[in-house]
Amino acid sequence: MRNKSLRSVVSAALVGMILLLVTAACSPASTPAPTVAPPTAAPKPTEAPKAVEAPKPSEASKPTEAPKPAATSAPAPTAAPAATAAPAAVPAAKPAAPVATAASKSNLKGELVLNTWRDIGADPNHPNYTFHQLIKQWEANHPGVTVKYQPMLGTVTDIFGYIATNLRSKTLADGVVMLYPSPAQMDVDLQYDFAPDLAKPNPYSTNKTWKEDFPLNGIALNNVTTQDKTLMVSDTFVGNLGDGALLYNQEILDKAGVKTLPTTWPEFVDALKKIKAAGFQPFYMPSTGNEAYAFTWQTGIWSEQLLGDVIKACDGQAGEKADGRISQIEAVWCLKKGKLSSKDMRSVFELTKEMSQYFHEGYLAPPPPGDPFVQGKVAFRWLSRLNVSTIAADPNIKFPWGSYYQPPLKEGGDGKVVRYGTSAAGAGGQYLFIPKTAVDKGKLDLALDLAQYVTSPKANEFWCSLQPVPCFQEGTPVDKIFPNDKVMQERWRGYIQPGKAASGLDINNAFGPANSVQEVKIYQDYLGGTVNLDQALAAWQRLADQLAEKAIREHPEWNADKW
Amino acid sequence: MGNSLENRALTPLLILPVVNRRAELLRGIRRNWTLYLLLCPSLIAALVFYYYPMASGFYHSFTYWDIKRTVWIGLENYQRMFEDPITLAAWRNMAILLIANIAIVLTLPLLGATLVAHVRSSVGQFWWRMLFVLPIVVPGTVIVFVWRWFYGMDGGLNIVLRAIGLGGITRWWLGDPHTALWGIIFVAFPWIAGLNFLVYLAALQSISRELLDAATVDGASSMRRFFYIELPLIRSQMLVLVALTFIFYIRSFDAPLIMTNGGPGSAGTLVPGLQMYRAVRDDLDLGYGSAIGNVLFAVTFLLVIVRSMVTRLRTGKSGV
Amino acid sequence: MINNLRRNSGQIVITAILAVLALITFVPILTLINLSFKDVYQFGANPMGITFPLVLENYSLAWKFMRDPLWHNVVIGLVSIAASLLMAALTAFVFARFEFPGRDFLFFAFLLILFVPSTVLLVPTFQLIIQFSLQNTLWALILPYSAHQSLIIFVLRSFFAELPAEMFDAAKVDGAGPLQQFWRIGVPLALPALSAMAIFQIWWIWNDYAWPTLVANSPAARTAVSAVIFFNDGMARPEPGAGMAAAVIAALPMVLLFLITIRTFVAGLTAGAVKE
Repeated sequence: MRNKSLRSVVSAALVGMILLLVTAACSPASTPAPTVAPPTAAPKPTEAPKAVEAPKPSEASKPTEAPKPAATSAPAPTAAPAATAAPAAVPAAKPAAPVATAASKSNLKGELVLNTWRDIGADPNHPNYTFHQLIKQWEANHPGVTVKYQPMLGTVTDIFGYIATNLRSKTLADGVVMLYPSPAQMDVDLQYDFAPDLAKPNPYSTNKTWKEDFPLNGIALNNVTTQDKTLMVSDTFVGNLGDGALLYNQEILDKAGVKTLPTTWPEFVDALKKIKAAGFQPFYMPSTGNEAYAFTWQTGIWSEQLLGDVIKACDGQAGEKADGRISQIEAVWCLKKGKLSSKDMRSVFELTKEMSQYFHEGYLAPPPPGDPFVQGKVAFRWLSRLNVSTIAADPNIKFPWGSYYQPPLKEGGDGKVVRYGTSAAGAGGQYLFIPKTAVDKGKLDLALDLAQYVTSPKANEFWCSLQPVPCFQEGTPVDKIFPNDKVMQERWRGYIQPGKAASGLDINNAFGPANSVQEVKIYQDYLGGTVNLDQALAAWQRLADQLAEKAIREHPEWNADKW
Repeated sequence: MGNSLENRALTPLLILPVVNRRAELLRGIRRNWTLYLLLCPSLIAALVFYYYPMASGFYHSFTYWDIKRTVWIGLENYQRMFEDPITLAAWRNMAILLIANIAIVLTLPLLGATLVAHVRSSVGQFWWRMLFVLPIVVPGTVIVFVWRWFYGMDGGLNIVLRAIGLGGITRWWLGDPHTALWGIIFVAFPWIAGLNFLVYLAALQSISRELLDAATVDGASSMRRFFYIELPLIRSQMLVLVALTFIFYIRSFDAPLIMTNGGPGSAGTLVPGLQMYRAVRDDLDLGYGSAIGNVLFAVTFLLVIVRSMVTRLRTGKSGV
Repeated sequence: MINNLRRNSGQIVITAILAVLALITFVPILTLINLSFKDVYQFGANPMGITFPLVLENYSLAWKFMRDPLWHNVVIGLVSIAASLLMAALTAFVFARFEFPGRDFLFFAFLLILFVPSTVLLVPTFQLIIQFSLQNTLWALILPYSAHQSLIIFVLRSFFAELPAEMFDAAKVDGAGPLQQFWRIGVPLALPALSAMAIFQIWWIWNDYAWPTLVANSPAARTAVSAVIFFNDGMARPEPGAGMAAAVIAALPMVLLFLITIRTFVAGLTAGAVKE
């Protein structure tokens, strides 16, 4: 019958298409991702600019931070510091790591599974890669041990959600490598406390206690310590390198008549006005999508400056130290006692509304694919320092650019800008924590030894030397960090600018990124005109109250009813 | 045993049937134990994955529950739900979605099916049917995914609008509070390809030709034939499809989830199902999620009861 | 003659309208395929037209990510359909052909499930899965899907009930118990109905998005449709064409399956509906 033959033709056509797809699938991909890049023998100075490669379709679910070039002449490390007395492969300026002095630890055996922040071994140019090298070296020097990765993929919110859910359902791996920890990812019931071990010596170092191994008095541990329990450890980036800074497009600034980078807030607003009058988009500020962290940072920086009194009142409460950082318990105390409420947030909302006239067109919408800054459409944009290499490697940038920092809202005071994120004199890098389930499974020895190795002084030095910006003493001017390299100086100036760390009194720091997404939606309602200011503030208060209530329920040990 | 019971002349007659029935029951159970055994797999599945969750959901809606701990808090979840303005927005959105989709299911698929049913050649009918059935098999997620792009600032819809000169009304359709919900309703326009179309078509095709021919001979135009013969005969299918649409949209939230995640803003396209999903996935606030789920269940149940009462009244009124 | 013309013009109008509707219906699907062959620049510059060169790398990129999820779907589908059909058919058979105390009550218990919206069950089932640490494994999906039997029980029960008693008399005389009757007589007769139900189940399982995204959102257990969204939204350097390619890959197996089995599918649907 005609129908039958036609159907077989259609089926044949589809089979043909399948075959075509299969051949396409099996064709070599443009960017093979090496899971373990072989350490090349050639030492290169870390200050060499990264090679620029044509952008290729990237590996799926790469972090926003990862640059993609398949083969690059980017500086490659020499042999990673040996966990035992392995000789360095090539004489280099890099130090080798110390021997594992504790003989009892040399016969470690077993398999250690690590949840990692995306695939840390995939991209040699990514800052995460150095951590991967340290892990690999540790594994190489403990013959009885194998390390397996279980990468956590997706957007930043996805990964944080994964950690939160699986921490509670006790289905995490033996160790977790993550970035940007906030109080929302800490749980004294479910995570191993390093404090007792920190008081004892580290087998991989000569210091009296492990705590002393951490540069700058263990500053990187401050925001992962709560109630005298330290729940995560990390290498320390010595140097005042911010998590974010503003990139500027010099060409647009020139065309708009902005002669110098603004140093005061009125100058900044004036520059935005001029840029807008010249017909360009002043400020890239996506409120949704992968880059929406910029919105949270901006409002966080503004609230930090506008809520100074509230921060002072909240710091040091509920049994915490008055250290200029607001932990979750302090934030919840503040909300419960009414010291932080929506009427404090009024000024932040109003400022955001006023500045929204300079936000890019369609800032309430998810941004289209491609980067408007790279396309030369916006004058300023916030960028995480982890993404700078990506932007730098993009060949479509045809204009001079650099980074600098947004001036503070008010003159006077100490004149320091407010740096959002964990950057202070030192910041943490990749944080490692051990879920208590690993202890139950008997993996504590392995995980603890790894933690002690990767945070030992020599390992920290190695790690430092391979960061895109090598570790520096706080206060070193950028031209000393990159001598004779104007490009790198301009590129990194904004990130190195001295400033003081934000205290973290906001929903993002206290309750995690998923909840800051909810807060941003309230901003969207207000900025888009769906609700008026009072309604928006009422919604904010509702959200904050509910989050505080939930945190109190999660932590009966706080004895919040006694506050 | 029954014999000995009947022989006991002293047994009061009232107790006799009861004892008999209980004995019968026990005997029946014991005799058919293999049947009960064969029913066990499905029964266990139903208990574990349906009845236990229903009971657990009901109980936990009165607690604060976040996997780690369960704390009884009484009606606080419900209180919070009813005090929150976005709950109202969510239910309102769902009502709009329901009404719009019921209106759609009663019109366009019917139109398409009628047109196809009136194609003269049966081979033609076959191929039209094939054509409109094919899009069903594409997963709904994929369709929603493409339409999400369509509605973007530089998406297909805006491109078409600019091309035909209506560039002035282009916007980010999913980001504008006025158009986001309608955007979601509009997905899969013209709504012909689908199960509804198939059901209508089958029903129309099963109407006997003689009936229609007789009507034509009597001088009825095609319009009158449609409204007075075909439509009444497929009324039962229409009701079934309305019911199915209702059941589907009261719980489906994939489209708002994928297209806008409930936005723009806090509740532009939020529906209660999505509110519940957020509570679970983003907040790990399972108690609150259970409360929302229970309210949804209660509303569905109520409507089912109302509908069956209405049906019973109607059949009662028309007699027999 | 004029009558003829009028009738033919009617047909022409019908065909014209249907053609327009079909075109509009297929535009999204065709656009999807078109977009899947574009790189970022073609995507932005000319999304609706055909651009050359066709970027096949999108498919190799998407395939790398989608290969495992597709396999998960196959495994989940096979296991849960086999399990649910077997259990449901057996249950339906027992309900249909035997009398025993509590039969109607138990049947009603299964029927009641049909009225429960799945959203109610989402949260507690989630907790159940977490309690047994089945999260991010395939079991988190297979087990609930295998329990989704009420509709099958309902349909198959009426099917089995209508079978004439003589078919089973010979077996009963031979001493066959209910299980043997089911297996040797019931199942072979029910195969067409079972295959229609199987196709329904696989369609429903393939389409499910909310549950797998909630409970199996890791590389070990992700499903195809969940992977499409995850892949597209979680990409670093945006490659929207690859996202579309992933969507095509996710849809393709279903399209194939249905083209092969379309007659069964349509027959099953329409039979059920007309009988109502």
